Amino acid sequence: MSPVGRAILLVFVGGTLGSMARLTVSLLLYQHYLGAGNHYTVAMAATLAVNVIGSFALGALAALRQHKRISTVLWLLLGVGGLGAFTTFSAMALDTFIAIQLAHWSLAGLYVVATIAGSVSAAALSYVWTLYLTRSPRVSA
Amino acid sequence: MTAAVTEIHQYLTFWHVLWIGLGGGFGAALRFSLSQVVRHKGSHWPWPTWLVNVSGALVLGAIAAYFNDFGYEPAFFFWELGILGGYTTMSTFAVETVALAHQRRIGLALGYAISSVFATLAALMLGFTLAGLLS
Repeated sequence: MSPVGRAILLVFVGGTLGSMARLTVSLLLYQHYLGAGNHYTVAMAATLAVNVIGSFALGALAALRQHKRISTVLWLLLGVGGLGAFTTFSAMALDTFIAIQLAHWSLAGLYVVATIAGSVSAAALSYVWTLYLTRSPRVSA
Repeated sequence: MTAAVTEIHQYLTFWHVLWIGLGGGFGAALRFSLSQVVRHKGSHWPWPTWLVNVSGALVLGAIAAYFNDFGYEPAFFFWELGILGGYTTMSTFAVETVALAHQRRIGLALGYAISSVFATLAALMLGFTLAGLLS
């Protein structure tokens, strides 16, 4: 198989696993927290949870990749495919749109800010920590 | 079999889960393929992810309009959580924003984050409205 075909296949397999993992997280949250009248906020919480967790994990993977601690195979499988599919931007837009349609303006604003600030700071934290933990040891002269 | 969007998970079978997973794999493979075609051309702006997220939101808007009119069923998860969940990505967006900030391109990082949010929301509303006009 050509290198490009192999890369696409790795992303496909990772994406399949990532989507199933996201579905699992959603179903677990629904099972434990779904009650009368909170359907909508539980669905939002599930999207928020996968986005923040996935961004945290990808920040660490990106730092490992930058220092060549993980192979391209693992990066394509877990990073581009797995965590790329585990997290979602379109569902966040849909959740926000539904909140706007229901005229829940503060919920919509809070949700977007929490998702973006949460995901970016989670990725920043894990990226910086991983760079720090995997730094080359200083050789004392 | 139709239900409210937050009730359809009760009707999922093993085969639905498998199809949703394969949909996610297909979406992710499509995103990766597009990112290989849409290369950065001397620009620091992460165009591939931006375009993927905005186009994915446009399609999801149209899909949501369809299921909103004809009732929700597990097939909605195939699109929302599978195909478009795999296609669009928050984690790559977050890492790219961090990378821009790390290179001291703070304005670019803020512009990328803010424009991603507003462009995806506008695209989703456009898709929803256009599909509503057609049906």
